[in-house]
Amino acid sequence: MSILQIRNLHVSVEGKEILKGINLEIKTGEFHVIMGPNGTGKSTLASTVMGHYKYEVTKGEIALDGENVLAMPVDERSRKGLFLAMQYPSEISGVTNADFIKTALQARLPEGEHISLFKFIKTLDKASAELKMHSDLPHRYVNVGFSGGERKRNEILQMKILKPKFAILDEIDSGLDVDALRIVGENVSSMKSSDFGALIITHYERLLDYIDVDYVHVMLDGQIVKSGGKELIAQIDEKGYDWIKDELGLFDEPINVIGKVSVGTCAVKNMIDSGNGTNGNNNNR
Amino acid sequence: MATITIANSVTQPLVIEDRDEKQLIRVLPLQKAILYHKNNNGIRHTEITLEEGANLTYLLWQNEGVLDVRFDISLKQDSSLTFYTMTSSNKSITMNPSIYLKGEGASVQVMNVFLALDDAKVSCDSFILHEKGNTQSVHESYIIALDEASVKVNNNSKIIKGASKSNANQVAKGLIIGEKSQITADPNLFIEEHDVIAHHGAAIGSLNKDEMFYLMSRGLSEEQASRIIIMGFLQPLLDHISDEETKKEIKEDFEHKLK
Repeated sequence: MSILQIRNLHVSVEGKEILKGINLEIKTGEFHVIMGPNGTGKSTLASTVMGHYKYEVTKGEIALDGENVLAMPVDERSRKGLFLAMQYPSEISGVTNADFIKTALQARLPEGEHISLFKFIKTLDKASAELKMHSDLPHRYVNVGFSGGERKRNEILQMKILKPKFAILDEIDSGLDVDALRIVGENVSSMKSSDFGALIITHYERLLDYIDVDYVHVMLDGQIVKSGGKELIAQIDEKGYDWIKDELGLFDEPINVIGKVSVGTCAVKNMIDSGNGTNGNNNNR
Repeated sequence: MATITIANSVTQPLVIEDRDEKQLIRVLPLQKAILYHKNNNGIRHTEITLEEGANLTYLLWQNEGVLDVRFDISLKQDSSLTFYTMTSSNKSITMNPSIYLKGEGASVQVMNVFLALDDAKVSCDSFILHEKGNTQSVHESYIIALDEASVKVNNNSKIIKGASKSNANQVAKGLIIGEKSQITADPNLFIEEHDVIAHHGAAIGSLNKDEMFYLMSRGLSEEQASRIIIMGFLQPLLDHISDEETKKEIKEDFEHKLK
């Protein structure tokens, strides 16, 4: 069993604090979901775990089986078993999907060892078929000209082949139609095992119709404010997030108005009132 | 002076032998040929003439040593030239191609690919002159500067008065990889005729950070990720080379040098 621990994580972007003390523990064999309104820091958490250059960890720690993740470069995090299915995966022009995935698999092997091409093609074909992806996909450039749905499936395809210990799925359901949502959901579900755990970030409960999750966390303003089981999903679906704020006594910050408000004066009205009118020919009147 | 005359069309690439003298190449009317020159170590000046309706593909590949070469190329009516140069030497590269579209309907496609390593100094001054109407030119430069290499390309296309319905296109794209490497691109158009289409542009930058993050998040090291992006930049250019063996040889050379 592996364990991913996040303790008192504080993260800033360009000097602004987004995450304000996140605590989370995920074991392999567990599926966790983080829900929350827009702009509460869900994607920041996902990207920070993977080591995105934009996010600065100001406090706290992330550990994978006791090893300090924050000290690892991005590629090492991946090779140690972390995976991020991105909301907006990049396009890599001139590099075929098959070559890219093969290189990523090769990067996991000890030096001098090579993957068997035959075995790789078989694995790729099987995983693509399970995701009902187009057969020309391996020969197309990475994400170039892919539809929103194809990109998301391509993320799941990589996850299936690279077999991480922990995957973070950052809004993998956005841009998916009903059928694609089911296919993606079923594929993620089928990976659940004692060697694999996931952190699923979503706005909607829809994807969770296909994925059996163990824990649900609600994130508001950079903090996990409530954790529970599946029953939370139905409650959020029915009532939104406001009841949680009420329950916890959280209020949206009021907008501060600095100084007095000036209503201003109307220049046109002044002109008319003073008898100048608005027409330039009226000067002699 | 060495002279190559293409009097009958040939489908297989003809390999140009290296020699220390001026070279004259002439493709006779309606004939077709592919010329391939690997590592020019002596020819300083090449003159090429394409007679009416002739078609030539010329590929110069320099992967070692110093290159200092001038080309004067004349295209007569309805002739067409594909002129590719690919360099990956870590020595000094100087190229001065001048291309004269002398006959109506003549067309040229130029593609220069420079992979500049170590402290290589690369300089390319090119000139394309549209002397007659309905002439077409496309000039593409693709540059990758590593280490402390510096590359300067100065591309000039001119359409003279009267050469109407002509089309001149210039593209320059560059990737600056080394902290001390430099790329300067100067795409110039000199247009004297109104009834023409002309475009020019240059885009130079470093590796895209988001692309690097994406590749590294899949376990590729920084070196592997940058190599895959650079090869991705080069692959569509290599795809222009029809001879599979030559394409493979150049690709392997680039891959080897990016390690």
